[in-house]
Amino acid sequence: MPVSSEIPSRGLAVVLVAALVASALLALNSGATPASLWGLYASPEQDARALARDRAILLELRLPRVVASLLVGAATAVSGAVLQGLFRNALADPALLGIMSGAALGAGVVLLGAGQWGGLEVRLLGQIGAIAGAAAAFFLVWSLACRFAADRTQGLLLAGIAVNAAASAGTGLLTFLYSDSQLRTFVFWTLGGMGGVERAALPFLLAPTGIALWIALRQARALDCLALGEQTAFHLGVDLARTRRLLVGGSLLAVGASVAIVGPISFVGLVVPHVLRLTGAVRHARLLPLCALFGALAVLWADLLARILVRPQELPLGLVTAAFGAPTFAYLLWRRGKQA
Amino acid sequence: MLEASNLSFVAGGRTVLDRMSCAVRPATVLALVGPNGAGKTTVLRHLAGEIVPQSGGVRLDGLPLAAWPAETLARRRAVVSAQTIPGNWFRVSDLLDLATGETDAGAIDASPLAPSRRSALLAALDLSGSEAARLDRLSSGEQQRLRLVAALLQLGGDDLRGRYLLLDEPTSHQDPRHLRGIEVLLRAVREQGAGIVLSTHDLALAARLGDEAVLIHGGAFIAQGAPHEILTPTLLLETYGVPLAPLRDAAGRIAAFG
Repeated sequence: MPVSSEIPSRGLAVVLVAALVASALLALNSGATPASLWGLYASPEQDARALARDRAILLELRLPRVVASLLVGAATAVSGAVLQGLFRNALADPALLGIMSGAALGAGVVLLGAGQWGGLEVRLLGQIGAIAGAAAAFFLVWSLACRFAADRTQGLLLAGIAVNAAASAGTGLLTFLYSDSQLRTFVFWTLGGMGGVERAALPFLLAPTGIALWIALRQARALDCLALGEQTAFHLGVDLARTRRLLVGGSLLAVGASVAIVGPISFVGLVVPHVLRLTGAVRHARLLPLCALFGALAVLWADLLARILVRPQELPLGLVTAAFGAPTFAYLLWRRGKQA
Repeated sequence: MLEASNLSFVAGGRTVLDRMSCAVRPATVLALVGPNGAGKTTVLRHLAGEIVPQSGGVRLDGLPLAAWPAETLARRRAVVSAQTIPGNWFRVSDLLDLATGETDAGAIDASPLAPSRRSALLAALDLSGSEAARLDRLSSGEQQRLRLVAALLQLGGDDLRGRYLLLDEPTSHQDPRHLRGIEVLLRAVREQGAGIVLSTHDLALAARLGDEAVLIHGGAFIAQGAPHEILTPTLLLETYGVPLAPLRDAAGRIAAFG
């Protein structure tokens, strides 16, 4: 990466924040119906019922999904950056390490028991199930990878493949146990989407995302040291076991919580950190906040596109992130291959 | 004092260390000498706290290394290992920031804690002006010298009493001029009170710099004492299997072994 291609992190952060604000406003004002923020105030002659309807659409439907998109995007991208840094593996991300599919299986089991995604208690149970599933999947991956004493980094990915396959088999099995309506709910949920997000669910996204980001930022120096190898990190004073526990814990919490509410979102955790590293943000104190901003922006746009491309229908969110993420990732691979 | 006592270490069925003991005191250089595969690196990794002893123990100021939190330990001992470190787009200044424990909150406009010491050390090892260079673009000699600078910054200021520097073949990639530079720097560091463990194949350097030398072979301790008592033709022939004797320059300094 030539020095000239570096972009000052602070400038980039300002641009991202501005883009986020503008995009959030745009997202609030776009959708299947023409309801808009300005409409609420600009046309006083509108009849009260239409106004109340527009108000409900904006505040109860669109606002929660905009906020949820921001939080899920930030959580996923930061988790991706954390896992890549922690395991010094460019391909580590919540999806490839089996965390997402483990979370999906965990939440799927809860859905089977609960009957339907209903009130808050069910959502919470789903989150707990998802976090437990994510944790189980990760510890399986980790124990398998530790058998690869020589190359744990590669072992993680291989174990991730195995655990992903097992978790998919598990979710496949669930589909036979579901009722028809559960099956429909489950299938839509596994494709990812902000459609069902209620306002009451937001704190359950905000808290885990906030905790994960806080932990990650506190461990930014440790992550920097780890970029220079585990041995060097230890020499520089990093308590490897503690750092691993904290960062993995934070990521599992954030990813599990988000998967339970909006389903698995692919490629954001993988691609966003890579794109930002290309701008020269390699120190984690810069990389992680930028990941939070850019991840939020990416998922916000993915959700916006999902809502407006086939209006009044809606595309699954995971489909949109994959449609943009996969080619971007392929481009990054191609670019890196050329440099090597 | 940093001391290893009765270290034994078996890896993959091979005995790497066999009841090996050594100690380094403040303001001294302990030279660790022996053939390839003798176990020098394994001793250093024990002294660094990287390997938990299978038997025997390592103590810093009387306290087992395992009892030292990693962060506290890092202010008392610094390591320059023999492997090159992966760069991962990090720059020279990044490594130096991390070594000085620069908090990440300040990383966006990193201002080094002790800019004078930092630039003085860089100048001493001919690295001035390299701060913006990427780690993986440095030559192996440059990276090696840089890591010595980072290790010294990690140990803190000018008073290095009670601090230990563990060096695994720190001159293996150096040309004669830079070798001299490192030797001068290490003498100064010893003056400031640091205890240095120097694992090396450069017997002349070990003889010139060592206050004490340990000769190991096959993981076992062969001899320990003042370098001129240890690096003798008899013991060296026994250890390396080739005839070796100190060659002195006009000033009477040991210039090489041959």
